[in-house]
Amino acid sequence: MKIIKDISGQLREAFRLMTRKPALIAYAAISDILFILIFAFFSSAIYGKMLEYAIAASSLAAKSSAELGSIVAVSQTFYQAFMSIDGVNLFVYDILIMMFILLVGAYVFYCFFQAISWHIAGKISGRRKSYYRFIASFFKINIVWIIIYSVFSIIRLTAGFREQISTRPYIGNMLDMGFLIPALGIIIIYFAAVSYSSLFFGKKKSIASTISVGYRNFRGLIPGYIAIALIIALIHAIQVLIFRYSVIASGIFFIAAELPSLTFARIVMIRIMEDKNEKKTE
Amino acid sequence: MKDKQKAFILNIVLACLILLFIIFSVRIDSIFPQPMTGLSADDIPEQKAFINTSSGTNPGAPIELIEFSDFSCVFSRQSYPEVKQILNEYGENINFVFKHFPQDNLHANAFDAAIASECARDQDKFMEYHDALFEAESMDGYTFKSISEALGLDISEFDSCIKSGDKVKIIMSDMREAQQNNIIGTPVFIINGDIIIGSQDYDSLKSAIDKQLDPETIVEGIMGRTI
Repeated sequence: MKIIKDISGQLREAFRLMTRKPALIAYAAISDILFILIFAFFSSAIYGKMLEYAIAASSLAAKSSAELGSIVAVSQTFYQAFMSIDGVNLFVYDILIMMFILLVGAYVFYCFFQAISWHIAGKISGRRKSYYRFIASFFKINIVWIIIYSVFSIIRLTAGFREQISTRPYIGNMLDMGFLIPALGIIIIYFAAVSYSSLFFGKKKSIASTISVGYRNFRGLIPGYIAIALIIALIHAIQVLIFRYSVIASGIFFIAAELPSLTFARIVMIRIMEDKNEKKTE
Repeated sequence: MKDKQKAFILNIVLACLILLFIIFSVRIDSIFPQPMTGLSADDIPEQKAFINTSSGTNPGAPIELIEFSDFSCVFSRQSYPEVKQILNEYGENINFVFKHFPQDNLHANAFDAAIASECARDQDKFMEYHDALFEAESMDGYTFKSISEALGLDISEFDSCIKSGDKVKIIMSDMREAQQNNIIGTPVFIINGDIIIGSQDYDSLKSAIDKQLDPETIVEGIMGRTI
């Protein structure tokens, strides 16, 4: 009961603070929307081009499907067999370069815009921290999950090629992906959660200490995360409902309610974390 | 250096990086031009109809035992001696149809083993190769070759069969059949249409077969078909 009381108190306080500083809410919303738009533009351009190259590689391999089958059959790895087809390797190298740029871009965009949004949320909550502290923490902690995501992307790319090109119906790959996707989801949620909860607890020098601090504090923040997830899910459900009737109204609702709800979530988390921190130092 | 100064420098660096990424997105077509494969539509082979040459050990026998299996699967290997005992006991009264369901992601070289066994079929040694694979301790190119030599197969014919990739279609056909029947693992036994999932011991296989030989079951089967 005490937890529910504490959380509902934090939610009310965060809402009260938000209504007092509408200009800062707007800045945070602009930062979030800029992140969504710029990243969508950047990623769709690269994904589109990667797809073109993947189709080209698939076409070359489809022409050599019998050859590919036989190469695989004499116990080479699929990757060796695939890359041995004339012309395919050049396309695959280009795809890997594009994937690398995409991942580095995702990392930079995410850290930059998230740091701005969290910095603004800190200002609104009255518990400000320097922008540099935020961005340095984001760059440090996010490197862990961007590496995991990179590994996953490469596995997914290879599995995709295998499935598309091979003369075999790769049931196995589908099973692989079935296991990988939730596993990746759990890992990313874990690191995202840990990275957020590590932001406010002392100055950390290494990634390992940041993770360990984040992990220790994360458990105490779970009720807060759940409350925020429920609120955001509710707002999103309303937006989806509105979208059925009017696209414009849904767009307005997205700007007026869904974007500020992200800032609201950050304020709540900052308050919970800072309170926890204060109790520790009292 | 103060945090503010550090943040200022970092922001400039990041702003430049973001600008670079945006320029890259806009100019991506000139950086990565349209890929040229030199292929026309006629170059891409159409998928041929699947074929399945496996009609079993004794076509026309009163009992048909179909097994979806994987030479590298632990549970399929567990069932192998039980199945062998059944086949020995029922002799010509049983038609054993082996269908391939290799799961490469779980078992190394399972697909290659299936191909090798089909190449042995071309030289009328499928069942012998099947037995040798299930009895083999490892599953690799060396094993495939040593089994072929031990069984006295024509090695050059066997090698050219493997290199041709022709048998891939047979394995695919079996795998597709498994998918169509919602089979997701191995082994699966189908005895005159009755499906038994998972590794089975001799007694359970025998009782399932004897049930099919029971006159009442035979009458029910005939009635069911005529109705």
